[in-house]
Amino acid sequence: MRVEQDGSLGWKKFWLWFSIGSNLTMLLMFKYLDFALGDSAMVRWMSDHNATAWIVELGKYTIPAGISFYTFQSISYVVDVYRGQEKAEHNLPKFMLYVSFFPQLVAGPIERFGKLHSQLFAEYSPRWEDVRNGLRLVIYGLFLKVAVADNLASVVDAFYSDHTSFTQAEAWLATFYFTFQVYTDFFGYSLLAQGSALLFGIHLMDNFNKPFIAKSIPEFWQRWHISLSTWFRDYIFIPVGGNKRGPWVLALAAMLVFFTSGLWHGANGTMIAFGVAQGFLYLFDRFVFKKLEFVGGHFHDHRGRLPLRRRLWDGFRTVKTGFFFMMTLVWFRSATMDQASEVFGMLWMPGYINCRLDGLVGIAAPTLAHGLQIPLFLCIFLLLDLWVMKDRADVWLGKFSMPIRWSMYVAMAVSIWIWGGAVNHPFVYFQF
Amino acid sequence: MMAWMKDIAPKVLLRLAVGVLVFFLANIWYVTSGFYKKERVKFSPVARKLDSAFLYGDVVYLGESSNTSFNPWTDTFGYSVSEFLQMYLPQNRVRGVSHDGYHVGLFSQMLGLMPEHWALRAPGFEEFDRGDLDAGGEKTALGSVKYGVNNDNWYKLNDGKLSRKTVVITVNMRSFGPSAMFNGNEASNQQEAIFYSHRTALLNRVFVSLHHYDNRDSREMERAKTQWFRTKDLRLDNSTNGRHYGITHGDLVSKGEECYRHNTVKWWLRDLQRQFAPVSGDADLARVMPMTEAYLKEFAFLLDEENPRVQALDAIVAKCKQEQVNVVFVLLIPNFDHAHRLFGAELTQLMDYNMDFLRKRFAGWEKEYSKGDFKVGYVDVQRLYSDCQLGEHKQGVSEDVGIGTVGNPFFDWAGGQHYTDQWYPTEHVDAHIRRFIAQKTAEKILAFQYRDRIQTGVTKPMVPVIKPSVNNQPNWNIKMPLADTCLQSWKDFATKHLR
Repeated sequence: MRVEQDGSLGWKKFWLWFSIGSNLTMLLMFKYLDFALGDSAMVRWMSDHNATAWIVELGKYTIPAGISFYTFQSISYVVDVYRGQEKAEHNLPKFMLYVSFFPQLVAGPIERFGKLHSQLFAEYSPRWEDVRNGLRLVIYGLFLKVAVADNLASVVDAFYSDHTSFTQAEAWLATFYFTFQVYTDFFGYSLLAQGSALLFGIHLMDNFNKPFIAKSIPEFWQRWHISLSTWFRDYIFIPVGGNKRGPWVLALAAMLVFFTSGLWHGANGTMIAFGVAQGFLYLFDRFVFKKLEFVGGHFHDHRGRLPLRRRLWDGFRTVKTGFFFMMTLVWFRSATMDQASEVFGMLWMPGYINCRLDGLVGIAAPTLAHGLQIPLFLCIFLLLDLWVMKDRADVWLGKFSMPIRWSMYVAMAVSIWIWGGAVNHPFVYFQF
Repeated sequence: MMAWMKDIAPKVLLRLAVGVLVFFLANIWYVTSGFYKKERVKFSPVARKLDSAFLYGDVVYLGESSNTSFNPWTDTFGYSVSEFLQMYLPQNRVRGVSHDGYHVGLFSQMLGLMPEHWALRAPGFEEFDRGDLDAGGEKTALGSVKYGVNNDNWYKLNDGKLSRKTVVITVNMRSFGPSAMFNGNEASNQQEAIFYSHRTALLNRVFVSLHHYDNRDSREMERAKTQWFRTKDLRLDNSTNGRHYGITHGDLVSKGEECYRHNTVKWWLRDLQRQFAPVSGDADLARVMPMTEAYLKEFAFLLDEENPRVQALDAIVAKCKQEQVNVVFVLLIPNFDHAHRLFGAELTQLMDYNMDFLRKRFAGWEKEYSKGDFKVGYVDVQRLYSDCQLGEHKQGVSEDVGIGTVGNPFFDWAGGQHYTDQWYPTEHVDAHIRRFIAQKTAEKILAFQYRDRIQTGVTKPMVPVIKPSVNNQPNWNIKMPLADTCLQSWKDFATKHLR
């Protein structure tokens, strides 16, 4: 309110930074304090005193669910009010509802104040279409999380819990699986959030739009975790200079965005490495790979269709983008930088030999064979996501006749019930 | 508002009804296709063993790792407690079901698989029904024939009483503490426990898929444990005298008799580390240090009524009473010897307090249910073993060959050499004590059965004789050296700095 009401620009700025600072302080305290202080003398001193020991414990073991998400949501509100794009909310409970609206509280999408607020306090008039579409999104979201992501997680977790016991081929399999575990896990959560909100007549933004058909990393980030990407675009990338002030400013802004993105994902070296790697790939695509566009030739032939050469080139770019993203996820999944280095070594060292003991002393080797349902569900999902589903799941399902549609519901429900992944794996993005 | 309710509610209800119908059809397919059976074995191998135990057993022994743990190289006999128990009870069918890291909370859930009216049923009753059908109505009991007792005989032996069946529950005092309760493996135990119930098969699987159980991850468990260590008071009488060294920051001058006890595990650990730091270069002490920390974390706690595992004991008794199945609690004996050598009475008094807490509870039940068909008993291994040792010592036939009695003059506890884990506080004991546990448990069960006038043909135990002697004791020097040498070094250090 002070940001909106104070007359002078100086005070407005003061209140803006005060608000951003207080939001970030909470985030820092819960998420980054342990990382920042490590095992310093101060931490030991705090641990030694009952009055302060709980702070260390809190920093070490506690992260309020979704703190990164609603901190960003609060910051976007303050900045929008400062910019005059939104009016300040004078009613505290209403503001709190905007920040803590339960479907998107723990893992987004990070909604903007204008869009969500207007829906939350509009006259409530549920429509059957919303309820129906909401239920469709919920069942498809559950299918992605429970049947696809959790099954993939069983393989990935087995690999990363003892990676040196596996072969090179298994390392590639786990890396490939993890890419789609993260995707289906987070996409599934986003659909669940959207579906739950729709049951109340609230439309949340789409968070994913087929990221694996992207032809470049910049395009990928326009399709992956859209609510976060657009947040970074609006509140960091453009204010820093965006792409209007020449390549150096663009590079600086992009690196700042991706570094912050890495830090946002987690307070450890692996997440920062993930962010920085994404930044370099972004710049590589933007400045280097773009110069190779001529390889693809023309965009249209004389009949106005896409020529074969262009299609092949686009296909190559799509695979390349997905592959680069997959590689950076090794940092995302590894517990430490050492583990990430070892996994990269396993992936790329020619003729890598693992240190398995089976056959030598009769110890059964760990296995990544966790059932046929894993590749099956993954194939079904890829088929749907990359080729078949042209719209969002609820709209797409609505196009089928009732018997086919219901068959699909039953198939999804039975898959969740009977073949749901048994590994105790919370939503990946809950930790952020 | 009502208008949209009228529009939406029937549609939602219709879909819900279809969903329920699909669920039940899927459940039928899930069970009849054999899928459930396969998955049950995969997710909960113990559940299958339990089925078998309840089907064929008169006595079902629910144990944790101490039932079967032995050192394959050095232990005298490889028999588990439940196997020894079968030898002592040849007229009963003893079925042991054990799993590492199990505790009374899980045993309580395991009783959910106890068949209805189990106390009334003959062993192998389901086999009997099937045999009956196969034989065209003739009353032949497949299961009973297999085990040499037919159905009619069983009822005769049982003399019309219901309470021939007995459940033996292993009670490990350590498992009531924070380190065991907030163990990183607990989530997988709880996942297995989903199957310890007779609920709809598919519902069990859905609970697994949706992680509908206590699925706290290791980080959350670690936090709960740390919080416990920091906040739970260890002073038995809540006196203000038990100041911890943390306040005084190593002010050892104030370490008089009154400052004997530490307030919390956290301060105790902190103090231990502070005292240890200057001597960390000593190889023997460095070897003992992880062991001391483990003993503190495992045993330094005080039991109270709020403890969920104490409440699980109540649930076990309630369930057994409902089913009229006798229950015998076997209170295992922790490694007091090593605990005493590490921390003296400061730690063992806490352990004693907890053991007494459990003893009082069991004794109360034993008294309460001493009359009537349903009975509760307990086997206090520590006290019984102590009596036995003392008696033998007085007679000059003490079996603890070469074991000093310093700090244990009245044989209050078993010598540390009886424990197969020398460097960690487990209750894994050698064959000598495993046999002893089985013997005392069998005596308790037989006392119930004699009182019920259940007389059976064979009463002579068929137990191999374990004659203790120097040569018969495990030869620890081969694979698993005793902690004795290191503990001797520790003793000097501890006397000087810790007590």
